[in-house]
Amino acid sequence: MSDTLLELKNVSAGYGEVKVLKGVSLKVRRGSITALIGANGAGKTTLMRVVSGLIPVTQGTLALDAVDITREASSVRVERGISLIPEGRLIFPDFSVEENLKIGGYISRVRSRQSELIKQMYRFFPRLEERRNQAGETLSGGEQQMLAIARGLMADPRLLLLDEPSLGLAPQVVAQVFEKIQEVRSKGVTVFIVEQDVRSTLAFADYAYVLENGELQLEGPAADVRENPKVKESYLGL
Amino acid sequence: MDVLLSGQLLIAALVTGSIYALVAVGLNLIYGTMRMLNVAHGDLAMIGAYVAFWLFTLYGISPFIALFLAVVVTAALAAVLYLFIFKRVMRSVKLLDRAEANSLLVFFGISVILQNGSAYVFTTNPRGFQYLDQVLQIGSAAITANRLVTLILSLLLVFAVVAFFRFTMVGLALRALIQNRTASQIVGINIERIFLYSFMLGFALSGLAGALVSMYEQIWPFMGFPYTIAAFVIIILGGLGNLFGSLAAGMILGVLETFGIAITGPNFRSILIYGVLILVLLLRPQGLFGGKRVVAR
Repeated sequence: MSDTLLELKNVSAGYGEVKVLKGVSLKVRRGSITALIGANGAGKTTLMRVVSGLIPVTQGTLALDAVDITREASSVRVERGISLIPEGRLIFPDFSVEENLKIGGYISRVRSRQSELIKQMYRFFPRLEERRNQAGETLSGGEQQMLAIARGLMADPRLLLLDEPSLGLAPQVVAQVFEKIQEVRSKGVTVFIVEQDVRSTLAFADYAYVLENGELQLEGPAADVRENPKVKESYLGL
Repeated sequence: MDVLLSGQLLIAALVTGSIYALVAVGLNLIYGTMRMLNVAHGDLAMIGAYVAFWLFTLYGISPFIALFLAVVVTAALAAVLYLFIFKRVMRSVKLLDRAEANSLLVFFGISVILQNGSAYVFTTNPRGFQYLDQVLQIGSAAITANRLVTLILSLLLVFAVVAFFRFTMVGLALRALIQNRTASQIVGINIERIFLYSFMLGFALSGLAGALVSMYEQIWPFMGFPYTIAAFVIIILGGLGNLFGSLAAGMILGVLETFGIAITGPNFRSILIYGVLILVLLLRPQGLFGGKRVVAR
């Protein structure tokens, strides 16, 4: 088993004529928390959507555990163990908390374990159990984020993609979310996270990539990236 | 006034309402999951009615058996149309942005083909057949046996449809897709397969309704259009994308239409139905039960 869980080689992608990612190559190590940071419009969300299969690549390849997944549909990638917690959470507003979790366990790999996984999620996020019959849209922002993470975990992923999980949340809620993410990693799930909260992200990530205008500018262990003068100036405001 | 309280009308209203509910929920399913307006929806009921008519006339097969074939024929038609036309449309981002308007044109074409194709093959002569047409007396109400069976069957089917959406994983996936297409892909739903299912299920429910009404309605190539109109009124009344809403709204329109005609006269049917549509659009455009967020992709 190689050390690399996810590998992107020279990936380009975009929307119609607009090219957002320009030849990105990166690796996410098994069991790590890997962070992708960058300014608004750098292409972070696009990269997450490319990995989860929502946007096709125009060039380059993606591999999960050395298996080429470049042409695979999103549903197949979820079966393989890639779960995205999207920007804006995208929970199902009319579904109850429980229905949201249930649909999270839709894929055939986990369907027989659905009720067991729902119980696990309730243990992991007790707040969700209290609200199990409430419609998704009636939850607070923090609860919705927890629900989005739980829904992603219902598919029992190997690789969890998190796109801006702190967006629009109060600081103490952000701390809780980050705590849960570390707990998820401790259970053996590899985490690939995009964040605008660069300071906290670099504090708990193992490795980081910096994306600018669709190209990688910098990479290294998170501690080194944090000390990089350019990163300090552009993202940490030091 | 006695007529209005007799129970006779109530049964008639329930028959019409439950048929409307079946036809409309299929239309709303296709709109909800794919944002496509199937203006040929009532024509599938016409196909179902002809299937039942010919099987009975040529082979003496009971319409209650024929309705299974009506389901197969309309579902197969749905699969062919989806795989050869709509799947391509849904794959192209450019076409997808105009799916709503384009689908209207495509379905209008399909409607014209189905209606005129039937007129060519079956002629435009109105047809009908007698099956279970003895009159039963229930209290003060008289009802033909075929209407009674239609009522029971269609009510059972409405409950089956509710149970399907509520308790099965495919039903859950269909409702998820109505709410948010991207989120559905994220949880691993193969959306092209669910599109196909909603097409087939929607068409089949309309075909099935047609096989049921064939026992007591005149069958001819243009019989589907009133059902299309009623179904559009119902899905607006019940809320676009709200499946349970359209089942309820179907029953409501059945009641309004039946009692309305009893008070006014058969010529007022269209006026009543369009009147309901205009009132809903003016007073509660989101539908009686609230529409789902059908604009979210």
